[in-house]
Formats: sequence, C-alpha cells, structure tokens
Amino acid sequence: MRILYMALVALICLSFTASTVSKTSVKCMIQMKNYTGEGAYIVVSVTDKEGEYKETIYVHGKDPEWYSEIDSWWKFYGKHRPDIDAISGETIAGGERSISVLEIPTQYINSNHKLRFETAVEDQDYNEVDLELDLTDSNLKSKVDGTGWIRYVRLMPQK
Amino acid sequence: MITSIYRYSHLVLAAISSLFLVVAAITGLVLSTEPIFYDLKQPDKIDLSEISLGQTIHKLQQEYDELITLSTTSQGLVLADVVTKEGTSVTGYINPKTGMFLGDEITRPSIYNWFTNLHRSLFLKSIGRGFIGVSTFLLVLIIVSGIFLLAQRQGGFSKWFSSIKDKEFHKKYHVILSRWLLIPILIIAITGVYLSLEQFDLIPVENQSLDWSLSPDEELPLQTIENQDFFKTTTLDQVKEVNFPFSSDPIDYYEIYLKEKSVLVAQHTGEVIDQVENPFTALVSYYSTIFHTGSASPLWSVILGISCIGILYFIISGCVIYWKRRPKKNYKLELSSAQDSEYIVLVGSESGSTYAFAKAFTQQLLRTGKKVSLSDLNHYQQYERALHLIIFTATYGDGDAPTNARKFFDRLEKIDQPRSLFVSVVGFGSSIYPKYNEFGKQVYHRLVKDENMKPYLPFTEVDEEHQPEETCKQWLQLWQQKSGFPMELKVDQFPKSNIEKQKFKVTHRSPLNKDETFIISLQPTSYNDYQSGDLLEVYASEKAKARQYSIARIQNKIVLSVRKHEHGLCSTYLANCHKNDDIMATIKTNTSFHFPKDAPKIIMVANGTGIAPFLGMLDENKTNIPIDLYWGGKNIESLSIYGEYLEDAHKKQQVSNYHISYSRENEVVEYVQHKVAEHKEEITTDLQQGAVIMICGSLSMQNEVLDLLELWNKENPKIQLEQLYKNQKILTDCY
Ligand SMILES: Cc1cc2nc3c(=O)[nH]c(=O)nc-3n(C[C@H](O)[C@H](O)[C@H](O)COP(=O)(O)OP(=O)(O)OC[C@H]3O[C@@H](n4cnc5c(N)ncnc54)[C@H](O)[C@@H]3O)c2cc1C
Repeated sequence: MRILYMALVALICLSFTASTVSKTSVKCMIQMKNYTGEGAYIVVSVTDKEGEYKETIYVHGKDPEWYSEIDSWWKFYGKHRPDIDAISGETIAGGERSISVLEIPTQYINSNHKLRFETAVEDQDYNEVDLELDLTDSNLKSKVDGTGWIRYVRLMPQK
Repeated sequence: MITSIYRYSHLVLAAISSLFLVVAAITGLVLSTEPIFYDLKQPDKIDLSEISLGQTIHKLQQEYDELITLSTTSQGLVLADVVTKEGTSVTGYINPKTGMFLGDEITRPSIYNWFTNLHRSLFLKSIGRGFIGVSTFLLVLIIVSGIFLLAQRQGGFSKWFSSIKDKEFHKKYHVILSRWLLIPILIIAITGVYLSLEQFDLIPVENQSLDWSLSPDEELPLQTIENQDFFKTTTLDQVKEVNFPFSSDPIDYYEIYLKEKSVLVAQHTGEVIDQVENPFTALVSYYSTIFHTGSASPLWSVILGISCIGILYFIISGCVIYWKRRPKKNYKLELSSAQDSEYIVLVGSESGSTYAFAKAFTQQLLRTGKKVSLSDLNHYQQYERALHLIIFTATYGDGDAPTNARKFFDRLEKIDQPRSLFVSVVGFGSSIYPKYNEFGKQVYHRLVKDENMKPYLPFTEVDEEHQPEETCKQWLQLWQQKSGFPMELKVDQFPKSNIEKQKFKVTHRSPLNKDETFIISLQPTSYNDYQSGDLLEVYASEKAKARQYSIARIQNKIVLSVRKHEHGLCSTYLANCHKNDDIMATIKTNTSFHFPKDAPKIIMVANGTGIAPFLGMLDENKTNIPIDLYWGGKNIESLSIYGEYLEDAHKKQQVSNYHISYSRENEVVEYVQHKVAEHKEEITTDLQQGAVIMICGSLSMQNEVLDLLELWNKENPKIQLEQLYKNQKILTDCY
C-alpha cells in the first residue's frame, strides 16, 4: 500500500515537472523589407552554440506544403513533425510588420543558446539565417537588423 | 467537316481542362462544407455595426494583460490574440461588448488544408497553381461558348428560356442545369481566375505602405482610448485587423486595417498619423475571396457546393453527348474536281450522320465508275459537266442553314449553270423541333423554281426521331430504280434513330371485351418525357415495323386502348401480353396533339380506341377547363372498360359533359358524328369563342366530322375553318 502511494506521488511529481517547463514570454515584432511576391515563411527556433536545432518557437506560415522549402529547419522538423498548430501564424508580406508572443523555455536563456530567424518566400530566396541573436537577458529587449527578407526584429520580455 | 465554332470550342476547351476541373470540382465540393462547419461550431454573432472600436479595446485592456492583435472574421466574429492576466498567450473569439473570452480559435481541420492544397495546386506548388489557374480561365471560356451555343440552339437569346426539346436525358439536363448554374459557376470561375492572377502577381498593385517614420504631435492632450475620436467613431464592422502598439512608446502606433483604408493612430492621443486608401484591387480581391470560398455565407457555400456537383455532371453528360455524336470512321474517297464531275454531291450538316450518309452515297456512285465531287453547300459553283445535283442537308436552330451552308442561297442567286441539272434533295432533321427540315425544304423549292433545274427525286424528309433508316432506304431504292445504279450501303452508314428502343413493363392488361378491345398499362423502365397525345411505337418483334398507339398518361403510366385485329401482328401481340412482360417500344412526341392547356374550352370527339389520349388529358385537366366529350362505340359494354377513368374525371370535375352514342345498342344506328351534328349550335358558338376541337379515332369518322364543320362554315362565315386550322383550334390524330 505504502509503496503504491509513493509510486503515485512520484508519478504525479514527474508529470508535473514535465508539463511545466518554465517559459519566458517575449513579445516579438518582425518588420519586413519591401518586396513584391508572396508572404514570407518565417521560422523562429532555438539553437545551441553549434547551430543544432533545439526547439521550434514560432512558425509564420500555415501551409505545410511549403515547409520543405525551409531547408535546414525542415531537416530538423520534418523528421518528427511535432504539433505546431498552437505556435503558428500567418505569413508576413513585404513591408508588413507582425507582432507575436514567443514562449522561450527559460533554460535556454543565458546558457549559450541562440534565437534564429529563418526565412523563405515561395519561388524566391531562402535564408538559413536571416537574423540570429544570442539568448541573453539584454538581447531580449533589443532591436536586431535582418539580412534577408527581415528588416528588423524588436523584442521585449513580458512583465 | 466544319462544325459550329461554339460547339467546337466548347468541346475542345472542356476536353483540355476536364481533368483539372474534375479535381477542382470534387475538392471544391468538400471545401464548400467548410463555412457550414464553422457556422455550426462558432459562437453566436453580435451586430458589429453598433460597437465602437474604442469600446472594445477599452474592455480588452481591462480584461487582459497584453493585446497583440484583433481582427474580424468574414463570418462577422471578433478574434483576438491576447495574453491573459495569468500570463498565457491565447488566440480566440471574444465578446466585443464585454471583452469576455468566448473560446479558442477554431483550428482549421487538417483535412481542409489537404483539400485546399489539392484544389489550388494539386500538391505541385507553383506549377500546379498554374495548371489550375489556366483551367479556371478555360472554364470561363467554356461557359461563354456554352452561352452562345445554347442561344444558337434555342434560336436566339430571346428564346433562352423556351422549353428544351431534347428527349435524351443527358442532353436535356446538360441544358436545363446549365441555365440555372451558369451564373454561380461563372462567378466561381471569374473569381478563381482573379485569385490566380493575384497569386502570380499579374494584378498590378500600387501598394502604398504606411509611413512609420512620422512623429506624433506632442501638443495634443492625452486621452484614454474610449475618449479618442478615431476610436469612438470607428465601428467594428469597418475593421479588418488591428495590430496593437508594440510598447507604450509614443512612436509605437496602432496599425489599423479598415475595409476602405489603412491607418496609423497614436496610442495616447488618438491622432491619425498616416492613412492610405485601399486600392481598388484590394476590394476586388476581398470580394473575390468571399465569393469564391463562401466564407461569409453558409447559404452561398451551399450554392457553391451544388455548382461543384453541377460541374461534375456537365463533364459526365458532356462525355456522353460527345460519345453519341462522335464522328464515325473515316475512309478515303477518290473524288473528282467540281469541274470534271457529272455528279455533284453537296452537304449541309452540323453533325455526323448527314455527312456519313452523303459520303456512303458518294462511295456507291464512285463504284459505278462515275466522276463525282463531294463538298459542302457553301462551295456551290458553276459545274461544266454536271448532270446531277444531289443535296443532303440538315437544318439548324430555328429553321436556319447549318454553318457550312449559310452562303448557299447567295451563291445560287449569282451563279448560272451552263447546263440543265437534275436535282434531288434530302433533308435531315428531328421532328422535336417545330421547323425541322425547313432549310432542306427551302433549298429544294428555290432550286426547282429555276427552269434549268429539273426535279429528279421528290424532296425527302428524314426524321431522326422516326425510323430515319427506313426513309433513307426508301429514298435509295427510288434512286436505284430510276438511275439503275446499285446502292449497297452498310448498316452503320445509315443515320441512326435518335431514340433507341426501350423496354416498357406491362403493369396491367384488361381482358378483351366484346369488341376485341382492351386496355394495357405500361411503365417506362428508363427516363422519358412524354404526355398524353404522344404516340407509342411498339415493335412486336426484332424485325417488325413499329405500330403506333396513342398514349394516355395517367398517374405516370402509359395507358393504351387497343383493338385486336384478327390477323393483326402487333395488336395480337399486345393482346397476349401479361403483367410484368417487357415490350420494346419508343415514344414519339406528337406536339400537334397535346392538351391545349390555354384553351377556354375543349371539345373532344372520339370513337372506339380513339378515346385513349383523351382519358389522359382529362386527368391532366388540373385547372378544370370545361370539356365536352363526344364518344361513339358499339354498345354499352364497349364503354365499360373506360368506366373507371371517366368516373374519376367526373368526380374531379375534369369533364363537363358526356355525349355518348352507340351504333349497335338501339334500333337506330347512331355514330358519334351524329351526336356532334345534334349539337351544332353549341359547338359553333364555342368555336367562335376560341374553343379547341380535338378529334381522335378512325379516319372515316374524322372526315365526317370535318365535313360537318365545313358545312357549318358555309352557313355561318363566322367560323373560318382555315383560320381554325392555322390557329391550331382543330387538332386531329386519326388512323
Ligand atoms: C397515329 C396513329 C394512332 C393509333 N392509335 C391507335 C390506338 O390508340 N389504338 C389502336 O388500337 N390502334 C391505333 N392505331 C392503329 C395501330 O397502329 C395499328 O395499325 C393496329 O393496331 C393494327 O396493327 P397490327 O399490327 O395489329 O395489324 P397489321 O399486322 O398491321 O395488319 C393490318 C390489318 O391487316 C389485316 N390483316 C393482316 N394480315 C392479314 C391476313 N393474313 N388476312 C387478312 N387480313 C389481314 C389485320 O386484320 C389488320 O386489320 C393507331 C395508328 C396510327 C397511325
């Protein structure tokens, strides 16, 4: 009886810790450059210092048909295809800006990880690293310029 | 063979695009259920035109920690992306009056994504989009060519809605449905093309963007949002999307997309920083999406769904129609030039069978070693050595010339033949059109007016509805007799009857009465459009010539009244039929003896089995037009087999008066024409007032009744017999 009880408690604790990975909410605004054509697919991911993908944070673009065009990320995501419904939004067209909330697992912050913005436009260029920043507290309240389709990204942690 | 340009383009375009259109229609059908799906799952709507944007934002600011975006859906709901007081970020429907969260955004079921992909791009990305876009454009052209084709068939746009004569199921419904679905399918196609063009950046957009570099006026007073002018006056129904300021910094503005324009608004003062009118293309794009997807109205999406089924049906029925009309096998003829030929064969035809017969005829002539030329009527010219002119021509639309015969009369007028010619004309047509063979008739009459042209064989009309093969055989026999040339055509070179023999099931047959007469009811086993007064052509055996019987349509069954002739082939065959037997027959439309439903009064005169069509017409008399029925038979028993139908009509007041006469019942022999004569006053008055008289039964009876009318006409010039015939006030069906 006692063993059973302990096991139950252990199980509850385990599932508790598993479901409550602590996350930091960061408000993120992406401002696109002026271009004509389709809206851009933008994937925001956490990578480690070697550039290996750790986790997908946000995906702009809901049409999975085009995901394979986002080459490097597709090699990571395409293998497992976790459910990203809750963290995906519309594509962003040239000149537009879009605000979203990024939920970044706190464990990655200030621990040598990076936040990568990867962009692709249907039938046009693909940028493996349109923009990248170190995941540090100070970077999470800054403005960073992009190199591809993104003009800049503004970040601000939630209260 | 020259075919009508509209039919040709209609067919070719459809053939090219049908595969893509089948996919687009099936997937479209599935996608049309999406708006209904949302309609069922979404929260109730609130009238957005009564709520100001300021009011809603104010409520949201109280309810939530952070506001990211707010948008209205095409279904009229408000969707917001917010961060709750608990710090979780959610996207869902909110009540714009209270700011209350109503539920998560309904995520699009992935099955719809899958179908959308297939619908838009066949999973082939840009190439697939190209295919679909082009097919959609072809669909527009198919519809346009279809419109002209239909107008041509109907005999002009003014007759657009006149009834469709075709009896073949698919032909008929291809036309009927297209008259209804034309508009929605055209809308689907045009909006589809627009959306495709937009996809490929072929719509020029002067996209003026909002200028974020402008600075706000620092002098303006700070106000809370519900007091700011812009937010007070903008109602939610004008709003498409709002992006909230990124931070509380005064240079972070509200970015607001309204139906007509886009605006930047300063967050603390409500000052409009910059605004850009939406280009016209944005409006077109907006409505194209709504009309193409039905997202704004579940009702429209139902219409879209029906249209998809319609497109599939048009493709299927189009294939069937084409298959039946497809050109027959080709073989080469050793023709001579028009100048050298003694026999000139000319063809006017829109479809295969006329041409096939002309070709087969030419082939037989060539076998005799004669020099023959074959061309279409538009190529009529001077013939130096010709002896014979043989013309085979169809009639198109409302008695018009087929496309390749349009110039014939012009040329006939201008060209004088150096030698005199023998002329033979055969017209091909279908008696379901009132002016069938009209053109052939005109060709014949215009030709023989010329002294240089001598009729060789009389003008012959081939009716595709009625044993065309027989008529052609008879004509060939005449030709063979007169010319001495053997004519040996193969079975498949004759025009086929439009109507194939069909099975009819016997549902009832009464025993023979004293007059050897009986009633037989039949049920068609396939689709048929017929009414009382039409004729059933019955084949007693595979080889037998058809015999005709007048149809009564009663409760969707064919009822015949038949007298068995002692050695009669067909009547005996029918007399020996039992319930559930199948008989082979075709229905021949007989427009000249249909129920005149606009007549003020009808006088029906019949003897013997001639009463049959009238039994059906009484049943059809739903508006209780006054009808006087005159019938003559041998004795009381002769009438009894019709008793049940007459009683029924009497009960429903579908007949006003009976006048029955018997020839063998009493001392005096009394025929139906005697009864008619007795009612002279009444009938003449009725006829003067526009009544219609219908006569059915034996020819001798018909002639006596018509003699009576003629006599009355002489006494009373007010009943103009000729006028009555012309106005279709005297209708006969006698045998
Ligand atoms: C427009 C129209 C409508 C009609 N409607 C009806 C109708 O509603 N009801 C109806 O009953 N009929 C109707 N008829 C008549 C019907 O079509 C047939 O003509 C009739 O039934 C006789 O056909 P059968 O095959 O039985 O006779 P057939 O075989 O065609 O014989 C014709 C006649 O020759 C006689 N005959 C045949 N062989 C011999 C022989 N060896 N010795 C002596 N005599 C012989 C037969 O007795 C018969 O009188 C209509 C006809 C027309 C044209």
